[in-house]
Amino acid sequence: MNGAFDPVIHAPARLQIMAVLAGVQDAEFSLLRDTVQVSDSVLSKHLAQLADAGYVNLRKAALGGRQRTWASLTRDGRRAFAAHVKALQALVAVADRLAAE
Amino acid sequence: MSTQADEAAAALEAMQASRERLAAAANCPPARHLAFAGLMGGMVAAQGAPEPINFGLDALLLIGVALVVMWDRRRTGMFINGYRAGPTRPVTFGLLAFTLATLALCDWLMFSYDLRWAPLVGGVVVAVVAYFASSIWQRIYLRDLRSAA
Repeated sequence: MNGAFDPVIHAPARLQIMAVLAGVQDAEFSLLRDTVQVSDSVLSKHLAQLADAGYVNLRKAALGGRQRTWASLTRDGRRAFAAHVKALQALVAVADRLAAE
Repeated sequence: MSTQADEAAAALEAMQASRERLAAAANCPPARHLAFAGLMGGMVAAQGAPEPINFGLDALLLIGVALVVMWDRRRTGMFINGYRAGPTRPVTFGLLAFTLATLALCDWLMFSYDLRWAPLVGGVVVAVVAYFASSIWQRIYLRDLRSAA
């Protein structure tokens, strides 16, 4: 993979987390875990990495009488995700074109 | 190149699978569309009430908005902003423009011709339009999530 790809987002689970968060304003931890299909600990680790990179905001809020973690994309996160997906699509398109020739 | 492209294609596929699961979780029952329609229609209809009752109704509508947001979060574990960028936006702004135009028309009828019932009729019309706009918005949103990245 070349420099156009964001190494923070490139890990499959983190790309999926970003894809889910790009579709909503914010999402609760258990929804993310179920849609990305990873364990609690794996999700926590990836969310922390995305938060450290400034791509994801994490906040605690009560819901149904319990404290829960909510995640949302930052503006930088949305930008980085869009650029990364574009780079992936471009790579696939080039490969398809070469295969067709 | 081939390995990199295969890796990229697999990443896009996995990403799309997650978005499909998100679409499945983003359920929006008719009662939710009805609640939204009631709030939109109520906003117009409340203008016909005498002061200070209309201010009280506006406050109740704001509480209603907060309750709907809480209901969304509790029901689905997510909140989706109606003004989000993408193909749903024309529906959002179309409904907003229609509601504001109806509101202005009702105010004009009420103050120029003393038709005190105009906001009530306008509120019913806006509620019906909002119900269908909300349903259409949801359909477009789900199609957007399910469309290949």
